[in-house]
Parts: sequence; structure tokens; C-alpha cells
Amino acid sequence: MKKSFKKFCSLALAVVMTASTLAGCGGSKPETSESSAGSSAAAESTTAGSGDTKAAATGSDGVLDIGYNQMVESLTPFRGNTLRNAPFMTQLYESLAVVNEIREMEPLVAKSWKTDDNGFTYNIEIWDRVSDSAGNKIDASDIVWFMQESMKRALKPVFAKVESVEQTGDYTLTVKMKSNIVGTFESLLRDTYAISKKSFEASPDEFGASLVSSSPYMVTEYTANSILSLEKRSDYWQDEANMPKCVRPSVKKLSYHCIKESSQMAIALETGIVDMVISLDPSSVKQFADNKDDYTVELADGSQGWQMFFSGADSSIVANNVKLRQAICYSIDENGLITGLLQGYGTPMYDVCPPMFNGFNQKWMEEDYYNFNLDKAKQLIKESGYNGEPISILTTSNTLSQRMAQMLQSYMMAIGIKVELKIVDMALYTATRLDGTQYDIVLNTIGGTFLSDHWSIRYDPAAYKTGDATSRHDNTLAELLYKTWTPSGYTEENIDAVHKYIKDTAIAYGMFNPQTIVVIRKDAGLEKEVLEYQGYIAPASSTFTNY
Amino acid sequence: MLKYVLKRLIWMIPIVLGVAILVFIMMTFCPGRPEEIILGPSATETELAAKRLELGLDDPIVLRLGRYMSDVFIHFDLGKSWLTNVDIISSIKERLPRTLMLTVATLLISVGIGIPLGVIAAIKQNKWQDSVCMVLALVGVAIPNFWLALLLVLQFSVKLNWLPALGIGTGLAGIKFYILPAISGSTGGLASCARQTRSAMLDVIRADYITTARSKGVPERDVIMKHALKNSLIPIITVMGTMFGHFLGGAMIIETIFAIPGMGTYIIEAVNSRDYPIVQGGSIFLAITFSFCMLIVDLLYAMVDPRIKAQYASGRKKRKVKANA
Repeated sequence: MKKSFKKFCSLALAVVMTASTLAGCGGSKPETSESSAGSSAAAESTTAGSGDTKAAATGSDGVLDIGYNQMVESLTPFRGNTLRNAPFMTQLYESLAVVNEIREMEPLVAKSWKTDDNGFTYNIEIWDRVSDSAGNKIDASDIVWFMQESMKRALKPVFAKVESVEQTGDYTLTVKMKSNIVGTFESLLRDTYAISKKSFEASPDEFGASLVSSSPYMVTEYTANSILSLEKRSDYWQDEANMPKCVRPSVKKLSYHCIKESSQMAIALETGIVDMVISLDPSSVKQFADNKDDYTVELADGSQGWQMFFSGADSSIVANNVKLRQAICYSIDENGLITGLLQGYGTPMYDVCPPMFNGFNQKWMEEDYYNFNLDKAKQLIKESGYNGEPISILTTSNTLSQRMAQMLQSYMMAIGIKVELKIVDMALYTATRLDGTQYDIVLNTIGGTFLSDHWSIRYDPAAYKTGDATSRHDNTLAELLYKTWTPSGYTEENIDAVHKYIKDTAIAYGMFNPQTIVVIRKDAGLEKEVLEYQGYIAPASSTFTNY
Repeated sequence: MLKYVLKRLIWMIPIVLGVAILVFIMMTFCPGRPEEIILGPSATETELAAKRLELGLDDPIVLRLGRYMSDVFIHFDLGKSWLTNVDIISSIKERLPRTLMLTVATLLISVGIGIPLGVIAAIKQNKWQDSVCMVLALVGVAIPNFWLALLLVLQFSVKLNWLPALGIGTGLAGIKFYILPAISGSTGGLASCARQTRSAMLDVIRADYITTARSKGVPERDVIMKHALKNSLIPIITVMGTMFGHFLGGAMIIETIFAIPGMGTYIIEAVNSRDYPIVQGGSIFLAITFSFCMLIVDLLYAMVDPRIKAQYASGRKKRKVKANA
């Protein structure tokens, strides 16, 4: 009796504990309707369903709190390309020019620039009243110093493309470029910050944790990888009317909270810790999209897209078999990938670059870009003479890439292709992705502003020791590419020729473009939104009732 | 006793040196090219080669190791991050207190609940209380802490709004930020502590001196607390020491979930981006911290057990005897 009572108590306790623990899993709001994601509008508002939110009221402290999923490990202006596109970078440092929402360069610290030799030499004039928050004047010597220091530190590849930089007057300088590839100088303008040399040298940690700002904001609080708070400066040098809309300061105080874990990001929004989140994980969107009374969900087409690149190394089975490559492209259901990987928050691609790239031709969107066609894929695989040899796919070990590779494996198996997955960590991936002998297909996502940025990284046979980025030596493509590189050759006709060549030969294939998901609490009082160059809301430049 | 402490401190030197050499060699043979990660996909071969040269990655490993050891142990300079150029010592100074705070809080919860559970289980051996405690311990070991963390956040932050879901705070107000992370991280340790305490208590509780104490009429409470528990503490302290090291090095998951910028995330991010100086510097710091922790454990042994204290002191006596002979 005693023994069975003991057993009963233990069992009951275990059941109660399990039930109470699992109880925390439920409690989500009833599903009422599907989120209306998936359209390709550059920035659309999506809301659905209803429900009650009992989050804390926001706005009482006058600070716009923003959740962001990347770490801010240092405020230093001398850094690699990490965080280059982070929304707070323009509030930390002011650059010579910015890319606006329609992906055109707009001057900021620079007043103007011009070239007389088809993009090899540029004369830049900067504003004569630039000053930082410590009251130091910034002139051409500071800009020259920043460029030279960046060249010396070699953290951003664009500075390696500068031949020399020279001060020609108090507010003028001349930059000589090693190459005149379209987009290189524009990147340089964007990556050159206006920083007073004097302020920088006085800083004990090279602006690592505290900085003297030349932007309309100054840093009021910073904890590495945790929080970055900014406040609008009252002594900012520029008349706001002269500034590009996407960097014009509207919000007085804002804080960026680094939250890497996706469910915590959603919780932070739900509980009012943050007023809005940028880059919310698709798996967490539904609860907000279903509650349009309390949240606004904005979707912006991504600026990179996911591509598959076929190896160009002679040892690879796909390198010299166009039909096999085309069969693979036709076997992929891009909408299936978007649904399976992104819960519908993505768009198909029509080129290796997404439509947001400067130079993208809208007419490409009407063409057949390897639209999923199993019959055609099977026909092509027969014609290709594929002999059953396994094809390897190289990708990184992050969740999205792994799942993508697994889905691609299933699609390719459906047309009789054997697939081996090579899933490695980021560092190993970086070390092998340029070596086409290590894989048959590599999955990648490449950013940039201009089509030529992407092309020069991927398809220039002179770029790497082994050829292009997949060890291919395609001189026909190189000829077409080189024509588009100069400012005078960057024409619709030349660009179209490159697009057509890459598409017809299927050396690379643009699969899908994930959307950036921004969710804003309604009680933040968004009145007027301003978009930044990646197509999503620029928090500091938009108008909020409470901030 | 002081001599013993000094001896142990001297022993820490080869340990830290060993860790530094081992981590340096492991990172060197780790696949992946740091210069590619730093410069990104658009860098050309020439730019990559220049970066390798600048970082000294083309130098022979012995030369690099010598340079590193000289920087660290002669100039006390851990260097700067390759990616951000931020001084590593200052980054560690900022992050280590947070990880230590989290570790200590986690340890306190594990020990504070684990020991009483173990004691109850032992003195009520084979009764329902024992079963309940052991079921609790089993659940503690079985629950993944990242899962428990999210459940706790849903309950205490989202539903009840009692505690912050994430982030860090300053001063006394900052303590509340560590409550959920510490609870989430403590379940495994709590369970080990409870099981270890039960086992150690069961060994002691049947000893003759406990029977003697009882027969002398010593109150049961005193028998358990003063005689049994005190004599069971040695294995428990050992478990606590290893738990401390486990929490210190394994805080990464909890730090990521609760957005705590501590040592765990710092080192893991650096490993992923092959930022060698951070991995090496962070590991050295953790090794030093862990060695100090182990020293404290050994000193606690002496406090708890006079025989061990006598052993520490006997080293000196033996030497004196030898000298006299």
C-alpha cells in the first residue's frame, strides 16, 4: 500500500510538472487569417486578424526603441563590411554621400564630385561648414586622412581600389582610382566618413566605445552587443533641408537593442521593450500580421537574394554541361523554397541580382527565368547525358542554408540527380567557396548596389588565382562584362547582353529574394515613413507621434 | 597554508601557459581563412595576400607563437580584435563581470536548492519525499535550458510582466535582469548537486559516529546539519567547482537568448569569424578564472575538513623533519 502510494505520488508529481511546463507552450492567439505576405511590393503594409495585446505602453520615455538582430561589437569607424548596411550606421558617422531609396547617390558631406577621365580621377568638393559634436571643424585634410588611414588598415576592400588621394584645397580633394568599374567610386563615397582627425586621435579607444559625432545624432549610451542610444544634436552643422530624406533626422531620441534570438525579438516587441523591430524572423511574423489593431507589418524586398553558382572547374561534372545546369535550374520550385524556408516572405528572382540593384531592367521580370518545369527539366537531363554521378552542394551550417540545401537536394532527386550536401561552418565555407574543385554547386547571397558590383565579384576570370569565383575562365563573358564596367559602357544594351549570357549558359541562377520584415507597434504612432536604400523604413528619419 | 596558496598560484603559471599554447595551436590549424572573413567576398587575391601579410599569418607558426607569448606574458597585451580593432583586454573587462555575475547567480540557485533537496532525499531515503526530490532532479537534468528559458520568459515577462525578458541593467536594478537567465541555466547543476548530496549523505548517514551522536541524544536536526552534512560536503564542493567551470564556459546559449553581452557570446562569435586574438585572449582569461576557482575549492576543502588542512600544513613539517635528519 505504502509502496504504491509512493509510486502514485511520484507519478502524479511528474505529470503535474510536465503539464505545467508544457502549458507555457500554448496560449497563442487563435489563428484567424493568413498573413498577406509574399507580394513583391517594395514596401507594403500587411496586417490581418485581431486580438488583444497587453503589452506595456510605449512612448512614455520619449525614446524610440528598435530591435535589431545584429551585434554592435564596436563603434569604430574603421571596420570591415560587417554592419555596413545596419540602420544605425548613418546615425553614427556621416559619409560623403548616401544611397537613397531609389538606389541613387545623393551628396551629404560632399557638395559635389566630377570626373574628367571616364571614372579614373575624381575631384570632390565638401561643404565648408562641417563640424563634429566636439566643435572641431572638418575639412578636406580630415577626409584625406580618413581615406589614407582606411587604405592602410585595409579593412574595407573598396579602399584597396584607391590609387591615391590628395588634398587640393581647404575643402577640395582629388581621388585617383585603380579601376573605373561602375559603382566603385560610389562605394568609396559611401564608405568615407567625415571624422575629425583631432577628435579621433584624442579618443582613448579609437571611437570603440564612445565617439565624437559628425552626424545629426550623438551617442548617449553604448554597451557593446547590447544597446546603442542616440540623441539628436542641437548643434548639427547642416541645414536639414539640404540633406537627403533618408538620413534627415526626425526622431529626437532612439535606442537600438541587439537581440539575436528570434523569439526573444518577438517577445520584446510584444512586451513593449521595443517599439519596432527590423529583420524579424519569418517564423515570428504571423502573430503580428494577425493583429492589425496593434501592429503594422512592413515588408521590403531584400537587397541580396540567394543564388546558386555552378562550379567552373574542369573537374566538376556541371562545368561543361549547359543542359545539366539548365535541367537543375528548371527542377527548382522557387515558390516552394519561399514557402518552405521563409513562410512566404520572399519573392522569386529574375536574374542573379534582385530588382533593387542599380542597372536591373524591369523587362527581365516578364521573361521566363527557369520557371519551375519538371517535364522540361527531365527532358534536359536526358539530353545532358547525366550518368548518375553525385553532384555536391556547398553551403554554410546556418539553419536557412541547411534547409535550403536539403530542399534543393529533394528537387534535384526528383529528376534523377544524386546530390551530396557539404554543410560547413562559415569560416570553412569562406575558405572553400572560391575553389570550384571543392563543389559542383555553391549557395551564396551577394550584396551590392550596382549590377557591376556583383559581376566583378563573381564572374571576372582575372579576379582570383583560379579564375572567377567558381574557378571558371569564360573569356566571352569577360568581354561582355568589361564593356559594362566603364561609366560610358554601363548601357542598357550592354547590361542586357551580360544578363542574357549568364541566363542562357546557366552558370548561375537567382533562386529567391527574402523580404526584410519590419514590425511596428501601433502605439509608437508612425505618421510618415521614410524609406532607406534597402527599401525598409528608416527609423530615425520617419515621423512618429510619440517621438 | 599561505605557502600552499603560493604554491598553487605558481602552479597556475604553467597551466595558463599551456592553455595559451594549446589554444594558439588549435586556432592555427582550424580551417578557414581569417583574411577572407575580414575583407569579405569582394576582396581580390592581392588584397587577401596583403591582409595575410599584415596579420603575420604567413610567418612560421613558431615565430607567431613566440611573438604572441611575448606580447601576452611579457607585455601583458592581448592585442586587438582583427575585425573591429578594439582592445581585447578592455572588451574582456567589460564582459567578464556579466558572465561572472550570471555564473555566480546560477551556482547559488543550483546549490541553494540542490543541497536541501539532496539532504531531504537522503534522510527520507526510499520514502515518497525521496522519490519527489529525485524526480525533480531528473526533470532538471532532462529539460534543455534554452527551452526552459523561453517558457520562463513567456510566463514571467510576457504574461505576468514581473521580470525583464532580456538585456542588462546597471547597479542594484540590474540584478533583476539576471534572475531568469540564472534560473534557466541552473536546472542541470541543481539536479547534479541534489544527486551528489544525496549520495554523499547516504554514505555518511550510516557511519558509526552518526549512530553514536544519535545514541547520545543529539537532536536529529543537529545530527544532520552539524555531523552528517558537514562530512558530506567534500564531494559536493568538488561538484560545485566543476559546475562553476561548466557555467562559466557554457553561458553562451543563455547569453544569446537573454541578449547578455558576456564572455560566452564574445568567444563564440570570435571562433566563428576566426578572430584569433579574441579566442586566445578570452580562453586565457577563462583559464585564469577557472584556476582561481579551483584554488578556492581546495581552500574550502581545508575549511571543511581539518584533516585536509593538516595535510596542507604537513608538507612544511615533513620538510622540517627531513632538514633536521
